[in-house]
Amino acid sequence: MESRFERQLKKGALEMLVLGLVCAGPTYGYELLGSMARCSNGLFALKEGTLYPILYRLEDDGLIEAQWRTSGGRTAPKKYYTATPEGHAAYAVQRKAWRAFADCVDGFDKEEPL
Amino acid sequence: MTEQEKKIKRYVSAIERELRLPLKAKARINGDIGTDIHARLEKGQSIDEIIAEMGTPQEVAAGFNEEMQDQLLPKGSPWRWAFLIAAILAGGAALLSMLPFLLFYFQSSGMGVIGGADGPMAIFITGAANLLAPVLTPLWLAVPFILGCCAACVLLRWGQNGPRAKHTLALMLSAAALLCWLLLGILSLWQASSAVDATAGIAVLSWKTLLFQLLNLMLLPSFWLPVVTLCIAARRRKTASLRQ
Repeated sequence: MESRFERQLKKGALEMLVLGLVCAGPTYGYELLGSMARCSNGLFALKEGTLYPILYRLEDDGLIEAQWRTSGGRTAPKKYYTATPEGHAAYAVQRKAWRAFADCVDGFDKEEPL
Repeated sequence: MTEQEKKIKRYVSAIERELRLPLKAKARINGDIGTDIHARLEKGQSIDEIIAEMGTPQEVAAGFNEEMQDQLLPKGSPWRWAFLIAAILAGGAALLSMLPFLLFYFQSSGMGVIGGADGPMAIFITGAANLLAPVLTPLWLAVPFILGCCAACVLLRWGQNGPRAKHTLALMLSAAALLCWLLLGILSLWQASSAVDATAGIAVLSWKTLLFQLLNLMLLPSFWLPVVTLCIAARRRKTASLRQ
């Protein structure tokens, strides 16, 4: 059972990570669930109820676009998410902010205790 | 439809039922969950394995409801079902009380023919006044009450923080109920006064007496229920407008 602190931390980073994966190339929901779990070594093993609301928020904000596509063969059509130019720009800003935040937090370790 | 498709449909429908979100959001989720299941099937998972991995419909819906709290619809009060039952009972009672008159009316020979022969060109006229009197009172008592119950149902379903459109609907239902009450009431009392005049030979009821009777009948739920729902709906609608 993860602590409240861990949950808050994850929640803060989640939107940025999902946007980052969509920025890497067109992808669909189930693929994103797998990518999130794989890239985070299981730390971000999400459920549909967590992932899709994030995708809806990103789509409503105009950062990503959804499009139904068939990948050929007898496969069912899938809803592919693609990052818009605004999405790419927003991801760059978020990464920069995250880096600054992480560096600041790491800096506390280097400080001598009072 | 194969057994697998039936299972998918049942699972997705069960999730949809548990969602407390607007229809647009439900449709979006429905499509995505369906795609997700098909993507998992293509990876070789069975439908039972998929359901076990995704969780029960309640668990899946709870996740969406929690993450989309800004769109969450209020949980309706269970008291709305009491009003629905009351409306059905009132409708049934009104129909039952009118039934003997309706049957008698259609079976009786109170039908006249003008225009010559009883052929295709003949015009049939019926004694509308004979039917009007016995059906007016049940209609007067039932229709405004049913409309008032419907308004109460809408108010209880959406609660104080419901969308403005729903409060407007409750307001319109209440207003329609009061209008029906007034129109049917005037017609009913007018009909009653005519009947007294024709059969007993006494003077027609004065407008003052009719008005007094109308005021007296305001004590009935077919009047005060729509009045109460109208006031609540108007207040909630105003609050919703300010919220927007």
